[in-house]
Amino acid sequence: VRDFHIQDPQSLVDAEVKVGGVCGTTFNQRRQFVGLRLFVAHLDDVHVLRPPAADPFSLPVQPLTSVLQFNPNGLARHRIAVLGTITYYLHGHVLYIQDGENGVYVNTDQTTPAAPGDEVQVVGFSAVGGYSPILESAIFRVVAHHAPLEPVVVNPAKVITTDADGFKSAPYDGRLIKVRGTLIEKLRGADGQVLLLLGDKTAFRARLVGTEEQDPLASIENQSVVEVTGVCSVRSDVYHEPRTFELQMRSPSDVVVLRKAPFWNLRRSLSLLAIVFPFALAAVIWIALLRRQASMQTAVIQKNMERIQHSDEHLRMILSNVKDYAIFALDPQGNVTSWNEGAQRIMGYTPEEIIGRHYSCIFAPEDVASGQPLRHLNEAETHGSVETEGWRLRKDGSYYWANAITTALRDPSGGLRGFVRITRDLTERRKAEDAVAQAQKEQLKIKDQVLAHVSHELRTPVAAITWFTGNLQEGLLGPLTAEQLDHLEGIERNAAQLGKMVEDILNSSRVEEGKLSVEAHATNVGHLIEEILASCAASAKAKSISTHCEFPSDLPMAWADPQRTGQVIINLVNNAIKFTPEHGSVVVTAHPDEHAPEMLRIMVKDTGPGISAADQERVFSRLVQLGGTDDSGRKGLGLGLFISREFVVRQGGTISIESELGQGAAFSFTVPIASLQRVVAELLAASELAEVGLIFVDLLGADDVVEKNLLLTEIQRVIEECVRSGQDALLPGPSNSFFILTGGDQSAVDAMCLRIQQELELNSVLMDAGVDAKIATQRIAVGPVSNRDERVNRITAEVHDRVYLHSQGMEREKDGEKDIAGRR
Amino acid sequence: MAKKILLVDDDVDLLKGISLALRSAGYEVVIAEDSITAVSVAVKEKPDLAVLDLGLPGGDGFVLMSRLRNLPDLASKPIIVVSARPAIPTRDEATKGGALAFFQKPVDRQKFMAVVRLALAGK
Repeated sequence: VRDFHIQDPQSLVDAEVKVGGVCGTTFNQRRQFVGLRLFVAHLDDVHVLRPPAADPFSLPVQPLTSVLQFNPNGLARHRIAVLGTITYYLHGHVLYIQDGENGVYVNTDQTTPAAPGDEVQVVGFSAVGGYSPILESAIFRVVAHHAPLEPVVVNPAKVITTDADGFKSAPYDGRLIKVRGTLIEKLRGADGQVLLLLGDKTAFRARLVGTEEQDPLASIENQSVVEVTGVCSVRSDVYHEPRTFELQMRSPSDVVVLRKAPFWNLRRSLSLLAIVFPFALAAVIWIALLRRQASMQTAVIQKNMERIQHSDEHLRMILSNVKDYAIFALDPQGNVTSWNEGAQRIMGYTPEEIIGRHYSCIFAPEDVASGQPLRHLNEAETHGSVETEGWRLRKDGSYYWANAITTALRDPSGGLRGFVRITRDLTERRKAEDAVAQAQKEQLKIKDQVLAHVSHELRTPVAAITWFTGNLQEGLLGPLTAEQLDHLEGIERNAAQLGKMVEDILNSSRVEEGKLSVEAHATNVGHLIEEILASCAASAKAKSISTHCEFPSDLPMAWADPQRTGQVIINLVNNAIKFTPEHGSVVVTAHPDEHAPEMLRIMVKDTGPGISAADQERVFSRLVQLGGTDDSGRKGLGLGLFISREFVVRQGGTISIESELGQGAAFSFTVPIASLQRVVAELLAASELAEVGLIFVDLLGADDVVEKNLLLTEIQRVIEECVRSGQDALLPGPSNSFFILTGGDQSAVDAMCLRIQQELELNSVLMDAGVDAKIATQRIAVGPVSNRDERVNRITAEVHDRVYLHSQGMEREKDGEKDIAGRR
Repeated sequence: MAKKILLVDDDVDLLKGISLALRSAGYEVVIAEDSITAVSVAVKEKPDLAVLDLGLPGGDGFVLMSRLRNLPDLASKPIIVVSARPAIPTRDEATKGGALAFFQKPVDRQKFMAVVRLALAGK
């Protein structure tokens, strides 16, 4: 109604009216149709058909439970009357009434004096409340006065209950109840004070409205356990399910403290903390800084301590547990500072006896005299540690074989702190080793004796066969047929083979014993090769193999054992002939080595099947034989190359193979060149000579190669007897001449010449052969030259000059057509 | 007059073989199979050259050598040693003992005959 001016609007309540007006629709913001509206132009359009009853309280009283109960005959939202007892009254605002187990919220403007406990008749419009229905715009009148109702004590968790089907209900809504809980927080609202409480895990609020006092509940502290009385007001969620409840308290006395909050509540703690905090913070920072510093230092100290402790414990453990090892410590001078049980056991001294004494008492007197104890310490100091073995002295005077490791101990700055010596008693092992070595020695001796005997026994019959054969071949017992000679040649060849095998066995056993000896002389390798090829001519011819040698006419002399070197060449040549098929060739060459100018390289090259790389590696091993056979089908012993290598190595050379399968094989070995430098250097190294004399021996021999070589060998032998080993040296000169380098002055040189001359003259072989041994003596005095290399060079240069002069003289002699050989 | 050679060896076959060769070369050969016999033969025959084995019954070859050297007729006569013993050190021992040459068995026939020829040459 647009113009609603009416004196008492209440007078129309409950009246039956007829309203005329224009009907309109109501839309919400989204233009959705939400309802109808009747626009009435004037109050006159509202016609009262039947006026309301004069006394509203004349309405029939209904039970509280009927509020909003569905009734098909009743009028919804119509004014109803109920009867109940006041449980809460806020003048001009709210009234809670209760009838038995039901309570209802009543909204009223009425300010009629009334107090809880009064029985009132309430007339109002029922409406939907927070959970239970309420009465709005109600009026009431007091019917009777009673004492206030006693609250029902309820567990807060039971205010809202859930039944078996999960349906929630709040049976205490609108009723006066008393619940227990802990005060969590006090909140100050616009219309009063609200307490936030927690009871039996259920949170709820209690509200006190309309009190005069500023803070009526000030005395109650948080965390206090309280009992609160008030009217229960339940709120429901959007699904109209009860969710929370609130107690409307009537006065501050509705809160009863059951147990006070503990003194140290959060607030006090916080305030105390607020005072203490700045100090604490400062202190904490200061401490943190200190701690950081300290912890760094502590870590270092701890680490060191741990390390020290660890190593200390470790060492102690070793020291205490070890009985098989003598472990003792020495100070830098060698005095004993600690002595373990093992040391006592092995050496016999107790710690009391030896600590403080010098450790040289554990050495044999002769070792102490030679300075061994200090030498061990010095070596340990220089190299960190030193391992030594030797016979050491026990306290009781007996000896034991000790293996000792002496280690220098240093402090972190590197200074010597002392030594630790760990000793093992290896006497038993040493004895066993000695026994084994002795047994081996005995065995070798027996083997040696057996071999010597066997060799003797074998050599003699071979010699006899050779002589008989030779006698027959030379026709000493009458002429022989070709066939007989052929057979004799077979006998001779086999005897020679047998003889060679005997030599091989002997030599290889000498190699095993380390007894193989070589005697180096100035050796003419060219002659040697020629001789060997001559001796092998028969076996080469039998297979139609051509043999020849190549070497320069000025091939230097070798510094080698002629017999051993010859054996090597024979072995290589025999092998070459053995493996080369018929009509092949064997070439022996000798020349200064390309890679090592102080060596001669002698090579034996064949046109045989060659040797595979795998076989090349093992061909020098003992008893290794390759597939080839000699003309008799025999294999031989497989010792030749093994012995050959040994001979070569002993003379300071190397032996090697160059071969490819199907391409033939080239065996070569090296021997040192008998250079002046080499000999002079060796001579000077052996003796510190201030002066050196040079003696020149010129020989004039026979035509016969065999005899000439025999003479040369014989003369060389005589001269070798005269020269003093280590002080003099025999050098090859040009064309059958020698040089003797001798230490000393002119008189020493003269004495040497005289002696050689006498020896040569007294030698019947040479005398009978009519050898004219010219002995020319030349003295080369070498002044005090300190540098050895310089002296070597100077002497060498002098000798070269003499050789040149000599060769000039030879030329002159030849020019004079002096028949040297003819003097024989 | 043919040169006389004393040949001493305990191996009868070798004696036989070598003596034939030497005789064929024009020398007169007297033989002995042991040291004791050798000395008496030497005294009786006064050989110009002695060819001795070392391993001999009745005394080692070196002993025989010194005995021969002590005989007035043989003191300056050459001696050649023929032995199955290893060349080192026997060769040195033999030459120090006064032998002109040393031959290891089996003996090289050519060289042996050459040395014999040299040893007896000119006298």
